[in-house]
Amino acid sequence: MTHREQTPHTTLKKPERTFLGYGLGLRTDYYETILETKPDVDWFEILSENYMVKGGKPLYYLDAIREHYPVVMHGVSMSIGGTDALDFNYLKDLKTLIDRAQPRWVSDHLCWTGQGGNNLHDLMPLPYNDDAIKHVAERVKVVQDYLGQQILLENVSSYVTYKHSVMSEWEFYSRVVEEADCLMLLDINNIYVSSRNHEFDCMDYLNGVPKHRVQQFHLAGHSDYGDYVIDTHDHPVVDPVWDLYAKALKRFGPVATMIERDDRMPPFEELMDELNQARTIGNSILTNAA
Amino acid sequence: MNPALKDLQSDFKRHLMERDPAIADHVVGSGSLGADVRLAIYGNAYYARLIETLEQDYEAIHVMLGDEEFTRLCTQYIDTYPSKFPSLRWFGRYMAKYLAEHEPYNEHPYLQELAVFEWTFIESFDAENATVATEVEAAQVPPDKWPELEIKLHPSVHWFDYEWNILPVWKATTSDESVPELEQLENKEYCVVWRQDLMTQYRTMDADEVILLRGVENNNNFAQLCERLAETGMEPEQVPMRAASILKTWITQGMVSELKYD
Repeated sequence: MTHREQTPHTTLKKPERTFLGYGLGLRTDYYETILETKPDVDWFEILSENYMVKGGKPLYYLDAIREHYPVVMHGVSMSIGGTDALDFNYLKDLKTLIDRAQPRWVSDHLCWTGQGGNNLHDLMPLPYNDDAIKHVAERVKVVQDYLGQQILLENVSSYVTYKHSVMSEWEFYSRVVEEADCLMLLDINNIYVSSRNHEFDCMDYLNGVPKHRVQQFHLAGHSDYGDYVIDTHDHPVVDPVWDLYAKALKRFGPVATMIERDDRMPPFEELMDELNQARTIGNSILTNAA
Repeated sequence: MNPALKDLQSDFKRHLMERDPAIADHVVGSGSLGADVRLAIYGNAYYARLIETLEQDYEAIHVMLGDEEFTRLCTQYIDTYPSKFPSLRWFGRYMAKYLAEHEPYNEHPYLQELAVFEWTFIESFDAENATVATEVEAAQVPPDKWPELEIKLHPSVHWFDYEWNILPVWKATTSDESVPELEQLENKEYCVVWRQDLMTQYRTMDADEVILLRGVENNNNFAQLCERLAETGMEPEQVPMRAASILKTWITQGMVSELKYD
């Protein structure tokens, strides 16, 4: 049965909106530490493509860690904003992994990653206009229908603005998710990075996205070159991002929060320290708000 | 009227892959950064990310060529084989082919052999999971069923031949030991790579084992494997024992997925 022959789902599985807590990215460097010490982490996020393999270590550790922790899945290859046809071989493998991993939810990025059959392996920016909104929303609906569930889209950091963008990034993001009826993975660091690169006020971004669509936060570090900032996810979270996180909590209430580190992996204890800092901020703000 | 999204993306792609400037007409500079600097962030990241992937996949080749030459190799590889894969995991799969077909690398055949070795590790690492036949199962094969016995290898088993001393070179480069002089071997040698439990293993094979491996890949049963061995001129009474001994090694090392007989 091809994807076209499938009966559209009338009801999509939607992630539970209860607060999942504080999570970390599951990285190979920490597999053994996690299994041996069972750290105080509420959930783990896996990079989907790393587990879309036929066998071996990644799936072994995924199965083992899943016995103790909930997981969510986060992908980089969906190219939801791309103009090549959706890759149903990729989506089929993604669905196979979803069946195995039973994630609480599945996310990817609001971007395109390739064109003309080539994968650029980067999160490429979209123009912010009605044509792009319509294009992306349609593709999200097809993907959600195929997977049978709502997905989350993450905001990417960007370094260019297109001439034909006619609205802000947050308006574009909000309109895509509303039209597609999907959810948001708000990367607080990426908001900060883009605000530096495009000179906008982070609070406009936070205030400009719909509260009921926000399902998860990422917190991460970046590389600051003064005139511009690159979202490298290879440094600790910096104070302005912690401040923005606090403001995000005041606006959105409790949202599952994750420390995302992709490179220059530190000792596990350092990530736990960052996670606990997020917890401390969260407990302080959410308790006061209650 | 907005340019077609497809054209925008095609222009951007060609900027990253071919340094085509067309995309510059569609982006604006702002603040202290012009459009050219902004586009260069993506252009630099494209190569940096892919070179980093190849560094991880081909650690030994990187050591043997040094940083500058390896970067040059990777840049040429990236331009020749732009990725068509959803995952970076598979991007480097054509490196052995590239080294065999392009100057100056094809003047140094050890490089291509090293690439085959390093990529074979990746193939074995990610191979499909499968059952593993045990010595107990082998002991339970009735004597009269041995001739028709079929052997199914674990999906992680891969093998290759080589003519240069790439095994000690690889070992030294990946463990910070001093690298031995490159030398061409007197005779072609063979290496098998497989995954046992979660660990990728490798070792050399002698000619008898290669004959059996080729036979198994051609779906020969045990009797046919013995016929292949007999063609080497081995003493006939030695053949079944030799074949059984090799099979026992395979089973002990987790290289056999299934023993099939009626």
